[in-house]
Amino acid sequence: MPLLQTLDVSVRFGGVTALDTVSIDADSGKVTGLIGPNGAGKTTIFNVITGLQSPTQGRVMIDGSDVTSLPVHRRARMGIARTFQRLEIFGSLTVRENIQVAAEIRRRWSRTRFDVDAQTDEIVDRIGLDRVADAPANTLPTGLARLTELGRALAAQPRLLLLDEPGSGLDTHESEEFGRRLGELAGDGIAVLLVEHDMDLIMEVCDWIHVLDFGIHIAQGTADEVRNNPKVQEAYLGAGDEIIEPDQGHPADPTIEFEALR
Amino acid sequence: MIPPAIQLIGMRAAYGRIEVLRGVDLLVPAGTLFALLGPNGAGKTTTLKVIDGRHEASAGCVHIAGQHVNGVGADSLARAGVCSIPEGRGIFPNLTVEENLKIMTYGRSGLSASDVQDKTYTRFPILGERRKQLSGTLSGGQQQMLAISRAVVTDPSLLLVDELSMGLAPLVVKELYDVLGQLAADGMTVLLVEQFARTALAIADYAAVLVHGRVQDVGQPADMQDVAGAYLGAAS
Amino acid sequence: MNEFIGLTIAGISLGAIYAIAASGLVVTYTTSGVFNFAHGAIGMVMAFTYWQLRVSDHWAAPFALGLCLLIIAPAIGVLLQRVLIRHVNINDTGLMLVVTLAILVALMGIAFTVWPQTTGRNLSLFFGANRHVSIAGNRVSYEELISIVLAAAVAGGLRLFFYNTRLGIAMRGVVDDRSLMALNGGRPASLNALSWMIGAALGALAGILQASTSALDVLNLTLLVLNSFAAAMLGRLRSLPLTFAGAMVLGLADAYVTGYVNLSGWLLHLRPVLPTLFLFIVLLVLPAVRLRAGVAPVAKATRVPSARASLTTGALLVVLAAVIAPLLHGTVLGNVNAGVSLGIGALSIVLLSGYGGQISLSQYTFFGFGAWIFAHTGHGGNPVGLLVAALAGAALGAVVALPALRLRGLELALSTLAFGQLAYYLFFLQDSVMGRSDLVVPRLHLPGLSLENNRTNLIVMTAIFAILAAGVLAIRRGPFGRLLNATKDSQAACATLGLNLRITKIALFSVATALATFGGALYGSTQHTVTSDNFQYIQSLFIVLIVYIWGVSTPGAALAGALSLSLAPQIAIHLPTRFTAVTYFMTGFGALGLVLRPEGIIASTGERFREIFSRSPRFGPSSIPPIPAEVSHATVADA
Repeated sequence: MPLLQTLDVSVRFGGVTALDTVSIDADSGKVTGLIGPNGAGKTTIFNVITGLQSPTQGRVMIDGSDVTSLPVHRRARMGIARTFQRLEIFGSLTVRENIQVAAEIRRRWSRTRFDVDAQTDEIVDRIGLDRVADAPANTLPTGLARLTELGRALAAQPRLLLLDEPGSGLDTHESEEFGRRLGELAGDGIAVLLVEHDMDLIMEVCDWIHVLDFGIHIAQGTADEVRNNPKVQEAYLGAGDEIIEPDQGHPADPTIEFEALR
Repeated sequence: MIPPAIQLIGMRAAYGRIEVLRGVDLLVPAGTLFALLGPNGAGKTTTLKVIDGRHEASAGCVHIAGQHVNGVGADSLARAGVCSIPEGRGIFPNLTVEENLKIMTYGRSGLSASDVQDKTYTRFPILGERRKQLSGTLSGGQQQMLAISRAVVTDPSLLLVDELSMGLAPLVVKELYDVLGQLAADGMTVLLVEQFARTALAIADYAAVLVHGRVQDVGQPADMQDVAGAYLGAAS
Repeated sequence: MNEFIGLTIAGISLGAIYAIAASGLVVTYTTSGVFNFAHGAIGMVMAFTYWQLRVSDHWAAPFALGLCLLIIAPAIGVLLQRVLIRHVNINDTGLMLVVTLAILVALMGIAFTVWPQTTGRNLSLFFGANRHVSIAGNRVSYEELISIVLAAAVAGGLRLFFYNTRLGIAMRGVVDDRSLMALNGGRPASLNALSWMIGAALGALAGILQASTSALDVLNLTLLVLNSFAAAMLGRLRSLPLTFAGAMVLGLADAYVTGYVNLSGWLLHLRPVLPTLFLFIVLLVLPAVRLRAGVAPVAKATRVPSARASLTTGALLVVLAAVIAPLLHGTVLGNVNAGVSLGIGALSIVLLSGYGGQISLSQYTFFGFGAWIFAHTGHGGNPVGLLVAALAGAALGAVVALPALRLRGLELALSTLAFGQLAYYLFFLQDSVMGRSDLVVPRLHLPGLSLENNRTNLIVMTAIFAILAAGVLAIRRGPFGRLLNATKDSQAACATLGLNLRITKIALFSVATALATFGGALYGSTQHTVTSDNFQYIQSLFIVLIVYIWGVSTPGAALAGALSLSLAPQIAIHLPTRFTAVTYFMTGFGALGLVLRPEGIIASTGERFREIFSRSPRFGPSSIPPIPAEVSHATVADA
């Protein structure tokens, strides 16, 4: 059974449908990709999975349990961690402190004992942030900031890791490095769900890929299957004359206000 | 000799300490439809922001119609005939269709509210049916129609469009692109930023590909097909 | 029946004034994105200005009114917006709140100085005091009728303006998307200025009307704004019709309570706080106002002294106190003593606002609770009484935090302000508490050490401050301090890491309030006797402002600030009687400097010294490896 399952999740606000009965899943030990053009609903589904957005319909299952009504922090404690498309880094803390505070938060609610400092050092090394560990996070270029967010997510020792465009801002070399790391994480048994625009990275690293367009799940499969799927090509590269679909309406870039936090 | 509509020479732009555009050289001839392509994060929107005055270049020259416009404010450029439709629906979501149209009259002196409404509803009848509706509740395609109305009613000399087709159905995209094509055919210079290479190349006279803050390739669409595919991954 | 009609008319005319005031507030908020705390103060200054022109200089009413409403008030509005408000990041709600508070206090100071309160002043609008009509057997003055007519005119006029004119529509649009307005050819800066002009004019009208129907009093007129807050909140800071409705409810409630309820004993002080009670209830019961989402600016990281540095500084401070104490006597000694003990309580502001990013405008209320508790549990100066005060504070903080969980920034500040005012009227003014006679608070008695001697007390207070300040710094350096910074930077990220934000907030309020009551107890013991005057709620504004001025993230600011406040009277003595509003000027104008230096005096001076004395910058390019900065435009906060 997949670690993560969304069952017919729909999100509607203001008369427009951001997600329409989307069912995707992610397995432990695998890297699953989630792709689709801008505005397809990828960040929205992440928000639904983590609890920052309540679905109008549908359920989210983690390890067989229905978590749809759990608040954000309770869900996180079940082993979900994420990074954000619009960086939500702790700018007033240093890189090391970003990771350290995540470990400290975990220590508050976790029953297992562990050494915060040791774990922080280990993650800083593993991710390759030792050179900038003492820099205030708000002085970092985006690539390093995204790596810091990754480190922070790892400090929560997740079983399910949601990465929202972690590769944007990385050059080819860094991208390859990153892809390698993702493979390692999956190797450790973590279920990785990855939203990305960098096609090379996706095709290289993902064991399975889901494709969204307009909030609809239009395709899934291996890298090759997805790459050669005409519907996917259509969705990405633009208008073909033969397919006529009614105008479904789509919301403008929604800035989520994280209502669930109130 | 008509000066180029836009000329960027060694233009650099940064957000705080992070440099996004590292020396952009671009020449958009007057009266052409020019497509600016490139992967996400390349700096396409930032380029538009520098041209329309929302963002100041940190180095290099920005010329519009042969005039140096570095540092000129967006509202001045708008009143001078630059119409820029930003990414993510260039409309005020909390105002009705009618009210949005009223705001557009700022862009050209002597333009009356009724003129604007007539022109818009003629071109886009569906907006006429929904004139009292809050524009934020319109469908994506309708919102974009409203946004592009500004180009139709203010008759600018330069039109900048950022990601017109984002999140829209192919049929609607086709209609919007028809409008663009018509405006260009009437002599307007159009600079079009687009994620979807095929759609843009279908109507463009020229195209440039922006990668990592620099122009990598420039040419006519026929020469650009393979290049675009290589940068955009997925299908070829 | 006639009585009912009479009360109803009175209520509606009062409600009319609240409605005009509240609409000005809502207009400024919805068209410029700023909640103007100083709104009532502008109205107050204009009422006095009108009095000056009309009564003192004998101008004809139409000219005086015209000048005030159409020229002076809008000019003040534009001035404030261009010179101050424009330079504060609109997403920095904390700083914006403090700056508008500062304007409020500064305007009060100006009013006290230009129009000293030693003589009474009266204002009547157009007609003499005897002009009235008779409705159902009630005397209704022309002023009351005019208020109602004007409110209706304002309602109609605003509706027409904002929905039927291009300018009004543009003002509604610009607050959603400034750059889009510019792209359309509109001028966002002019639109913002206009928004403040209209807001100020409406505030002025309300202030003049209020002054003509009641008294020309600085404090009351300024706090007219509290009433309009309640009405504005009912309208969710968005809907003018609801705002007007809310204002009417308030006015009618006031009239009916005055007319029908026998206000004695405990309820004696209910009338002035009715609007505040209303505000409190509205804030707690109605769903949170959808404040504009935006990226809050990251505060400039201030250096945190090491443990050794803070203990050394603390020790030096105690030595300094020991050296200075013998040189002081009389009132100055008393003031310094009071200052240091207040400084202990003010550390709560550093913790709550500086580290935690939460603004509370009722710290003096907690000081008062602390003093009261110690008076009753610290017999003979027993230190256990201090412990009780602290524990009570912790419990109180947890309780206060509960509604705060739903309230963000602005609403939290408003609810603490309301709480402070309510507590003052309904608790501190009670005869049994501190209302009628002085409350005696014993001097702290430590084993083997008598603090009856003021000098000894000063040294001990300084020592306690030093220890607690070091403690607060230790918190900052430790896990909780990191956590507070993290929650300020991104609540969403914290929640997704498994943090229960509510518990964190409750813990923060608890510890901060415990500090406040502890400090209040010590303050009370230093003063020997306290009355309700010691804990006026306006002082909560002063202390927040002064700590911000010195640096809300630096513990030293708590001491510097408290000393500034307690020594201010010493300065006032040497000035002509007209200039007794020293505290208002110091805190009001001083806090305006935050627009330039939000980190405060201590931190920015330290920064300056470091720049002069050190060569290499702290984090130069050499320490960050040269990695090309690829950036997605969507991820970088717009400069």
